[in-house]
Amino acid sequence: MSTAATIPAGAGGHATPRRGAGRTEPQALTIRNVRKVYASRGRETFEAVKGMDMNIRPGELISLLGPSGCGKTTTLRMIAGLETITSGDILIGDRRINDLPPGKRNVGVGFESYALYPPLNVRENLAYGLKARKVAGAEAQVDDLARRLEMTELLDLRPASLSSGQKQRVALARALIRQPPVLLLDEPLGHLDASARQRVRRELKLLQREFGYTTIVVTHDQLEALSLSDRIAVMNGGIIQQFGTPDELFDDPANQFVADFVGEPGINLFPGVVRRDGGRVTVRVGDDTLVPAASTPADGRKVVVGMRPPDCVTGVERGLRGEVAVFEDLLEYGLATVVVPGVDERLVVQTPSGQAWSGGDALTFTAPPERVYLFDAETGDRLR
Amino acid sequence: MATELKPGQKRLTPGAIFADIAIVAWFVFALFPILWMLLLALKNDAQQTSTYFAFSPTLENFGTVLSQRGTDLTSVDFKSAILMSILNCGGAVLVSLLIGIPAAYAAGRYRFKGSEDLMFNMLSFRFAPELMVIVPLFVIYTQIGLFDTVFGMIWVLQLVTMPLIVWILRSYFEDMPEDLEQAALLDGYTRRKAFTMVALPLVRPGIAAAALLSFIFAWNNYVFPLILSDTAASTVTVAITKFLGGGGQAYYNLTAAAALIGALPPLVLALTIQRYLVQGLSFGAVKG
Ligand SMILES: Nc1ncnc2c1ncn2[C@@H]1O[C@H](COP(=O)(O)OP(=O)(O)O)[C@@H](O)[C@H]1O
Ligand SMILES: [Mg+2]
Repeated sequence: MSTAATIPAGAGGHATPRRGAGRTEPQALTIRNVRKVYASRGRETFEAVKGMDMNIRPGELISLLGPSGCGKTTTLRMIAGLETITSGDILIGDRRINDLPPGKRNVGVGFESYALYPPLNVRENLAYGLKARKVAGAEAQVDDLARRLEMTELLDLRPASLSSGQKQRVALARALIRQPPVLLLDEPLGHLDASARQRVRRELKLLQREFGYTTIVVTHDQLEALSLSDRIAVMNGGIIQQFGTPDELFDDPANQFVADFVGEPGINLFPGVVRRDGGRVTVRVGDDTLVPAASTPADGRKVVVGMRPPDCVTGVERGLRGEVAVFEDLLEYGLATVVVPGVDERLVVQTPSGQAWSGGDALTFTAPPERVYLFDAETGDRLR
Repeated sequence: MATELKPGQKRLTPGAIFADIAIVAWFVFALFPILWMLLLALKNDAQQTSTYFAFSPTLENFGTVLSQRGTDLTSVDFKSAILMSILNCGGAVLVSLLIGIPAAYAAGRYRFKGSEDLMFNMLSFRFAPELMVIVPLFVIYTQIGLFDTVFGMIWVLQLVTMPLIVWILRSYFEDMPEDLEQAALLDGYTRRKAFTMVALPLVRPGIAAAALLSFIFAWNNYVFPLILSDTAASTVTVAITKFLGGGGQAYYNLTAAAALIGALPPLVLALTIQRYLVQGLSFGAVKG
């Protein structure tokens, strides 16, 4: 079966094709109320994915971001056809693929475990997938991709003699080589060292833009998700907590989990009590008061307050008053760890460059009302 | 003690020396019966019952076992018994591989209703004493005409070879990452091709090890050929004991020579596939 046969020929696309045959038309990927229940004999059933909905646009690169065990890999495997779908629909373009075998779905998968074939060298591993489909010019494609992913010198080696970072790049290349309209990558950069990770990340994004694969990258690293993705789906416990652009997730988190998971340094989360005075809403934190933008919560409601370190403003009259415990000077900015009476958590405040604080200094800080987030103390839902 | 050691060199400590001595002692102990048998096989009829190490060695016994005189003594042609053993055991291993490899793959890859029970059932054939089933088997074999046939022997030896092959290979398939086959599926290979082109080549060392091991077990089997065959399909193990004489003179020297000859085929087989065997038993080949 040739790639071209299953993909409707369409005009347009946002990148110039390098080779007519290799170019694939971007395809939308739609996930509708998909659930996955693992049922193994003698054990309780386990719902790994609980009703997932996602509309991924043609050529879009999205990340599934979440802690380990939240169902990211399961989702990917259902899209690839390696795991049955308990209920719901998955569509590529407008074609329902639930019942297609993996080989007919035209998705490329980069396995977290690399899935490189031990007896074959890297070159043969890469050409393997092309040979199954009898693609012409396999050799040239292998060489070209190897050059772009900085692995030309690896081509004649066997997987056993590669480092894990090298294996990861080969696994990535193996997923890319068929230039599938839908590309699924499970932790594609996890084992690379910091500098290789940045370079490969950029190259991955470049290739993705050039060829227009609709791409899902699974990761638990928020930095990777933020830097790669058009949109990010934050997952926890088999549920998408929020699906949006990196800015939306950062500026407007849907709940406490998203606020906590996204952002570095991490958001400060601490308890507070809502005070309503006529139309005005304030939060009592310890002995101090903050002004949030939220207008709905009732008087006396227990909430969790979220305040990002970069949003903090120091040198103010009113706000949270505390004492600096530790100060880290990171040149572009400083991070003060502050102890506020009545608050158990240590809070982190970002200070402008050029300011130096030392342990024991008194510090008063606050944040603009629209940057003071309130979450329900029980459910963690955002209060607006 | 600061001297640098070359790779593979060990530091001489009292513990290490003691361990070496213990290993040598174990070797002597374990190999002594074989040495004894070798000596016995070199003795003539007159000296065979003496326990002296000093004797006039002769290779005559080996010739006798394989000659007409051996056949006259035992009423079994030893050469044809070897051939029968090769046919029976080779056939049994082949059948077990043909059926056992797919079975092991299924058991290693899928959990289905009753799969564990099935596997345990198969293993219980190894636990169960052969003598427990031999009488009913004998009755059945004589009634349906399988008695003293190669086909019948191959069939009954499945009790020996099949559980071994399935159990060994199942662990190989379990250890092999499923992702490899799944990657092949995604590339457009069929399930069958993913099995034959990806999974099967990776367990080749395991197949070699399992096949050899089950061949040796089948070769050493005594009860089945003793009861379920007579002259046409009888094997080496039975033929060897015939030299001990049923009521007539016992030829310990000929028995020893016959046993040594009978041990040769599995030994040769083991040496020829040794390369695979080492790979297979170290399990390293599957994990890239
Ligand atoms: N084959 C399976 N059988 C039963 N439970 C499974 C199976 N695969 C995964 N799970 C469970 O499903 C949950 C989600 O797994 P996974 O999708 O691999 O998480 P992630 O990739 O986000 O770390 C985990 O709790 C895991 O234990
Ligand atoms: Mg995972």
